[in-house]
Amino acid sequence: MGINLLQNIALGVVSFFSLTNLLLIGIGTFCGIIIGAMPGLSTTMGIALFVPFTFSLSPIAGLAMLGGLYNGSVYGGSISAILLRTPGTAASCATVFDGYPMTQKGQGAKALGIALVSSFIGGIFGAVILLSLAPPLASFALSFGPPEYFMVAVLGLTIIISLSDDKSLIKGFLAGAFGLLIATVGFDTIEGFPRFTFGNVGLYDGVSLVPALIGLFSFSQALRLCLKPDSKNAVPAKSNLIGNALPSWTELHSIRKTLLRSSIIGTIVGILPGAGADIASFVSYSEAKRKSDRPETFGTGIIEGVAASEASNNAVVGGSLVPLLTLGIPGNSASAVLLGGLLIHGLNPGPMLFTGRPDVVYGFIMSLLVANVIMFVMGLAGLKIFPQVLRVPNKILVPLIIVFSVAGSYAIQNSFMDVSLMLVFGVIGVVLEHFNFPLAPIVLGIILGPIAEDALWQSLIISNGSYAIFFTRPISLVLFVLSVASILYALFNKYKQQLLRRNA
Amino acid sequence: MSFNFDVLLAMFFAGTSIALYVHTLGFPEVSAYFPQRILMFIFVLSVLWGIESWRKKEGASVSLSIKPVIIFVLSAIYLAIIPRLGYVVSTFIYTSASMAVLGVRRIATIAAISVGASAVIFILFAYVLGVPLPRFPFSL
Repeated sequence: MGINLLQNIALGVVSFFSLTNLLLIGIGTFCGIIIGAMPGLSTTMGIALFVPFTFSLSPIAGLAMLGGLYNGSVYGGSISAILLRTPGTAASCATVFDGYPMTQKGQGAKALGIALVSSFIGGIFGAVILLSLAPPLASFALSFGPPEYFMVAVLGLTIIISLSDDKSLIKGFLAGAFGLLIATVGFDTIEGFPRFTFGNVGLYDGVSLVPALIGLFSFSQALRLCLKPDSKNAVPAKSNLIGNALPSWTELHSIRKTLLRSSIIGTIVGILPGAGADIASFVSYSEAKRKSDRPETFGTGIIEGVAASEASNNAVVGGSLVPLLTLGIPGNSASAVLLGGLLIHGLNPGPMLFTGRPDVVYGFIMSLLVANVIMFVMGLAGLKIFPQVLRVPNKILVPLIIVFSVAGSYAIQNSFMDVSLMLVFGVIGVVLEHFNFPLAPIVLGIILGPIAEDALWQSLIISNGSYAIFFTRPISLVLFVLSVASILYALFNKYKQQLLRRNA
Repeated sequence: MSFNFDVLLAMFFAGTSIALYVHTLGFPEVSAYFPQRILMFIFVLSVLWGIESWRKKEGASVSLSIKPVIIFVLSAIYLAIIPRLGYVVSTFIYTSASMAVLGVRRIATIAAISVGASAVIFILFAYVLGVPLPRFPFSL
């Protein structure tokens, strides 16, 4: 098998390596970074828009460009998340927690540098796993059924505890519950009954994640910046020097475990169909905080927080392609659109693709590795340019953020309902943050709510209404135990900290 | 004596959760299952939060700043005029008005940024990305 793999790698390199393909990867990566950096333009949308451009290209060339775009856009989301507190994509939501506080401390360039290095490492990790372990990992993905997905959602919701401030656990749970409630708006998937639509046709499809995300973070941030219209954000000193932005070897060494753990989490989450980079970044952030010696520093602007989120969301790229290439099952919405890119070139994903067209499969995977390198180089060049946006005074920045938010919200479904929802969520975000509510659990609830509800009903249908199905399947049981342990451990820690505060 | 707005908001959440729960009584059983349990959870948490805030006798202060309110109202007007005036014209009007409200005084700066932003976003979304943004009714 080892010799086979080496032969396939060599075949892949020979198949894909050409100046044209390198140029196409560069174009895809550049466009991906721009798309990812803009709130409202998602990775999925970017890939969907570029698939038609690949019609006239060879399969490898087309896939290489799309892979570069996929990879670049996941990293691109971190730029606006760090500099403007407006995540470009849902996958960068967790990057805001420490990325923006770093910008406020004058370390915006450093945060971008950490995000770049972490994205590079996570992306390479995911691609290497894809290269070497795709077929066996695919069977792991197949072992996940509705009960396992329900428990994954439950486990994901326990992250709310770590996302909540020490003093406002109740508010964290309230925010999460609010997000779960928002996710129930629209036609339910079992009965097809319109819930909480109040006769409004625009709500039949429910509330999309992206308008909620843009409203809660981008629009609400713009409204907050109105209070200081003449201010500019702290521009990092010597921001024109790349050296100040990249992490030192000491810093890299200090976050090495976080990078490895987050890359593993991102790859595993990416392999699970239906779980995307947004979930991966939240889970990784939560785990990094839990495993840290100084969990109380998370959220104040530390490099570990940025590294955890960014390494995992880029590792998802490789992970999500495992079930896609081996089974034809997309790992997330972005890889679902990539499936379209495969099909239009007459490539049917599945086990036969690896044996029938190894040149294409391994060529594509090798191009992903190269795409990470190109992303790193482009990101390095951008480290000089991106922080300059901080020089723009808020009185000019605010209208620009809002018009981008409006265009981005509209672009999802060409619907003004989405823009209206974005405005509403903007106000909700301002009000809730004023009362010290964390916003991230709302986003988590909106993401995990549909997964939890659909998986719950599918499981009960399979088991004829018996809840025992969640406890008799090994993986589901393990996830349940992990969820309970996670809750108990977090509650114990918070109780301990409260005791220490009282005794101090 | 200062008013505890946290208690007020907690009461609002609790009241809203009750109202929405009553609304779900008209749903089919399966459709109502999830929302009802979430609403019960919200009600319990709201009560706990209200009690906690009342006992601590502390909460967030509330003061309304005028500029964010004006920008929000302008944004709502912007949303209303886009279908009528098209994206480019509406965006030009909105960015100009917003910058003026926030204190940009130089007309040249307002004009340049408004024109630039409208053009860049329109070209990027409408031509590069193919998103059909509303156009001015009388344009070709």
